[in-house]
Amino acid sequence: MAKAKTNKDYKASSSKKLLSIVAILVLIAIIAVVIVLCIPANTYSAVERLKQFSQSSFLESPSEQREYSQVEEKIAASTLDYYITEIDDIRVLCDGINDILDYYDEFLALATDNDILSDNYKTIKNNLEDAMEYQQSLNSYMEEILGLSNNADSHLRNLWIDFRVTFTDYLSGMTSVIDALNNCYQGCFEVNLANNLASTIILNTVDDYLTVITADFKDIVETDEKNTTSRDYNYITHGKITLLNDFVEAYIVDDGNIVEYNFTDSLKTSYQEINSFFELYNQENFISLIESINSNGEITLTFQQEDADGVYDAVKDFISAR
Amino acid sequence: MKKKFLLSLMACFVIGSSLTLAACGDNGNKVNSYEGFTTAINTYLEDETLFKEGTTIGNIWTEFYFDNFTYKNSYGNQIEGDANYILLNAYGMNYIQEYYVLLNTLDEGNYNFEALNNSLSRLNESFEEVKMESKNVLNAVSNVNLDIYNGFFANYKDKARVFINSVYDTAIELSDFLIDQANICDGLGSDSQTSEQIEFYMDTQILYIFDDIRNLLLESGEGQEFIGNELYDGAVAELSYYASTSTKNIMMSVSPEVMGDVIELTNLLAGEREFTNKALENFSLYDYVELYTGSIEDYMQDDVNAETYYTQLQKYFSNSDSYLEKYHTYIEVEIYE
Repeated sequence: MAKAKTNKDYKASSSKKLLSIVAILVLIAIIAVVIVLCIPANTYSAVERLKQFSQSSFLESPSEQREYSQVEEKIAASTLDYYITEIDDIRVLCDGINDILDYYDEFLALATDNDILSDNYKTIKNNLEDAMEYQQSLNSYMEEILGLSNNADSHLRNLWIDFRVTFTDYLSGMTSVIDALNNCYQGCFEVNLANNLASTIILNTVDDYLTVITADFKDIVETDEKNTTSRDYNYITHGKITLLNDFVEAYIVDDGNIVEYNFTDSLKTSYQEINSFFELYNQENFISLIESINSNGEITLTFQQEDADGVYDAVKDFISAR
Repeated sequence: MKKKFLLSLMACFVIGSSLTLAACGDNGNKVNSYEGFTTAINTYLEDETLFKEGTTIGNIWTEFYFDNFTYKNSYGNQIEGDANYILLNAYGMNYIQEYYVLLNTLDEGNYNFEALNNSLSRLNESFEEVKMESKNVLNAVSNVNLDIYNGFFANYKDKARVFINSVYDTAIELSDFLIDQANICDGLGSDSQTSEQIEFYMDTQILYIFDDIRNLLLESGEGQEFIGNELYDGAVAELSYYASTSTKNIMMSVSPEVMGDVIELTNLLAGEREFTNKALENFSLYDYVELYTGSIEDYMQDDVNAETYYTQLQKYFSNSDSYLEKYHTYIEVEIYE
């Protein structure tokens, strides 16, 4: 004969049910947290970070620009005035970087959420976060510089060297961000009038310029150290920064070549000619052209091979924004 | 154990039945679809309240010109309502009228007419509603009270907006059907292309462009007129241009090679359209003008991407060298010459 359930049995059953409910709720909470943590990057997150940064990137704000100008004046009035070209070029370079970020900012909100965005999101996110920290350090160095007395050139030099080291890290990070944004641009706007051979070549050239300029700054960081003399300082990047700025003005700020490409046969012809350079002389030689830019903004590399089609000259003109 | 087995079996039966029913859904047939469209078009034309007799707008002759589409000004004069409504409706209805007949020429095959038939049903329902409002306006003409008359016009305009949206829904379902299922454009860009195919293709591209403008004016702009707003004015100018130009005619005798170039460009425009649609989904022209008084900075307080969306819309619709303008300029200059 079956034993009737006692009160004790029913209580045990209720406890079991309560435990089950709690366990399910905990499981749901865990799953929700895992989903949130592992959620793939979406366009909105990338856009939000880029927009937040591009509105306050280094030397974007008038107050930072004023402070930087004061730093420049202080150094110009010291025995360290040989740094002035570099200091001025950093301002020009930051302007160019901000224009490039603005260009990508115009598109990113419309990008297709796909694997390419996910793959590049981490690079964008992490480097922008680092850039904001570097920017705080750069501002601190500027404050320290401005706080120095007029006869503290040795200390001033050391601070400028520290500033340069941090700026080079900032520049390296921004180069990575811009490269990742380029990947998103080319990969997240598959069929689009503004994603074409012209935009590919132009944006890849910007990446190449920034890579070369970043390498130059790393060289200066290694050679112009605190225990060296001014004779070890060899700043060779002025021409490259000037040409990059011209290039950005000509092809990014004025994006006519990109917008018109699909509607203008002559543009198609000229960019196909530039593109043929990579098939004839490869990417390394293209970068070598940029590396060979001297302080006067002239491309000094000459090719030994015969260039019957004039592709080399066409590419030189393109890089020089002529 | 037995209970669990029975429950599992029942679940399988229910799922299987559902799938079977879904697979055996009514896909329609070409005769019913063709007759459905024929009945609809005849009904619309025979009804004397909604559409005027054949009228020309630019280069477009239409039997679907909204009648009684007028409001009264402070002097009591009847003024024609938003011309964009009339033009958009005319082109969309013309397209349906011209190309539904191809349903009657389909080869035997396995077609799915469901989406097309459903869109026509919605169009018919909308027709009945807008027809009533047109009648109300007509009946109110002699009413000297401006507010009452204009109130009827406001209702008419509202239903007309819904009707136009349904027209384009149906027209695009029809174009999708003819392209994707009836393969009507197969061979375009090759030696076997025909002038009929070219005409259909170009009419369809212009339909899509009109639909883009409809989306901006009637959805994002909520059917309001924002004369003086650069985006609105630019889009309206493009609408008027396409209505008055002979872009299509330039294409009628092009070679397969040139047709291939145009198809390539048109596919890129279609890609751009996807990003424009994304911008339209997220940007309200109505809010931009009415709520944010034309300040993109104010709009960005509520949506940080507002400027991006607005810039895309300007690039597509209204810049002096907008993509829509570039498209027809390319055909008229590069192709024609």
